[in-house]
Amino acid sequence: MTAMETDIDWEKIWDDDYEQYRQTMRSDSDEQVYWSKRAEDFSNSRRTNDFEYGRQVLSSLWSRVLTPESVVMDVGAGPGTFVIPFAKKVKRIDAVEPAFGMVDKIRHNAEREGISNYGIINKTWQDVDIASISSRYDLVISSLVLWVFKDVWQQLRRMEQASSGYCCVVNGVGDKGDHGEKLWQQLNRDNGNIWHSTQQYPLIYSLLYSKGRLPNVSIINYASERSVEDKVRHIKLCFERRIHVTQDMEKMIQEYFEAKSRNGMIQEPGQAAVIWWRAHGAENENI
Amino acid sequence: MSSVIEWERIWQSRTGKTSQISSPEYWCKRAEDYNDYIRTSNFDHGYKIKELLMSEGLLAAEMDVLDIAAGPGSITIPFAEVTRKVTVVEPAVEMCKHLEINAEEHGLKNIEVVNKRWQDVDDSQVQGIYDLCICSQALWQFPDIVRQIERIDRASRGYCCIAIGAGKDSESDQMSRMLGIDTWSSDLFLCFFNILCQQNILANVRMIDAVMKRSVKSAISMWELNLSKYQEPTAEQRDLIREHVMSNSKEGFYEMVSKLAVVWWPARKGA
Repeated sequence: MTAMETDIDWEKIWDDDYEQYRQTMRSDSDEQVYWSKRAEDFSNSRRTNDFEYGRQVLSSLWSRVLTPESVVMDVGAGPGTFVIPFAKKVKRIDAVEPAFGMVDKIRHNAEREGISNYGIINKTWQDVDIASISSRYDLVISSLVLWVFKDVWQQLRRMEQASSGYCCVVNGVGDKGDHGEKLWQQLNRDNGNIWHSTQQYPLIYSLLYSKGRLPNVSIINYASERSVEDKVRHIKLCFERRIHVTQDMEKMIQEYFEAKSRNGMIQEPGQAAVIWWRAHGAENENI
Repeated sequence: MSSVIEWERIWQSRTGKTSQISSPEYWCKRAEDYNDYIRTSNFDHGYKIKELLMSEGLLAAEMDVLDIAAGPGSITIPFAEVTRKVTVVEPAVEMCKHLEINAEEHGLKNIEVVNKRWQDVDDSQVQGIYDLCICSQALWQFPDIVRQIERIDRASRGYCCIAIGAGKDSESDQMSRMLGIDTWSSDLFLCFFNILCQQNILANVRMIDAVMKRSVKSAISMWELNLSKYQEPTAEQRDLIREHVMSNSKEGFYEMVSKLAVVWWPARKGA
């Protein structure tokens, strides 16, 4: 007899995957320090085509989930990926962001765009007191953040508790052979260092569904552009979380991106799955 | 990891038996009660899917549509009202007859009916000739799901769309349990979703409410015929069915609302 989906423990699969990922990281790697250092290149990437990534997500949710009266919370807001485009259309957006470097970028980007209907909670999501914000938001959204949570289902439930309407998770999909992975394989061909890569999208979706949620999905396409200097810094920081990056490696990274660049810029078209569901009234909930 | 779960094998295991005993002859017997459901529900899910796909820009006046396992026209009729032509592939001749009557009543002349199983359609005759290929509530008829998705994909020059029931422990599941019917083919959505992901098909998903409204007679016939696929209904089971239908009926109509996942993706053209 073949197992049914109901026999599959999605939380355990997530947990195992999380542990495998953590094993590839250096023990002294600190998330907040890393993201503060990444703020510059990440902000430039997210600003591509006037925040195209954030605008595409907004467009997927507009009228179905969001209206001009909506109040939104963004969990792990980065440099204002959603804060900037969303604040132009909704009543208010609050950003939960623990990395100081990213908080500076949100403020900088908001000032540049003349945006003031936003707030910043400079904390990790896990440290936010949910009871004090229970059902306060029409939408609680998070992009490319879930992978930092070992207890992902608990954190998704906390997102639901903060919402009186919908929750949304945005996750990258599609081509796994990105620059980072290709370069990693080149640089680590002989030393056996593993690049942990996983397709989180079906895992997140299946976990939600197994808990009685019925998530909708929109697949979006977006452009991302960074200077060679930004991209080299991005990849170097990304690799340094896992290994010691030698001068030879850094030179190879520099040469790789110079060869890939056009007018000094690196273009990286991306795809993402915008997954949204009703936060309350989940049928047959099985927590 | 979820990527190494053998979803295709799970699908095959869960649909193999049910698809085998749900022959065109079975669907000929079911044609009357099924047609009653579609007509009494005013083609509810067909119109909802039509509205959804139109709002996404996937249905327009100049388009040609293929409707796979169309039944009495739950999708065909609403879609034919707004497109150039709908080609129907339906193996049960009695379903085709109902579809033709429904088309005539709606004044539709842009429907071509092919009385065949989808599996018997010659691929070379349909390659890339439709703007949209749709299969609604019939995917469980195909145990060789990946092959059939590839064939559907190849027949389209635009988009592919699958409508499939979603949500655990539906009324149908509860009833099947009560009657002791094998329910392994119910709620196949998650399995289907993961198969698409493993095939690198990035699909959009919308969960909609589908209304099933039918006469008491039609509801009783549905359950009795469904049960008869597995065994001759006993007097006790017939009583259970009657009791269930009557207790869920108002003014002579049995009405249920369930979730339907509408899933679509751009055809890979040459996959």
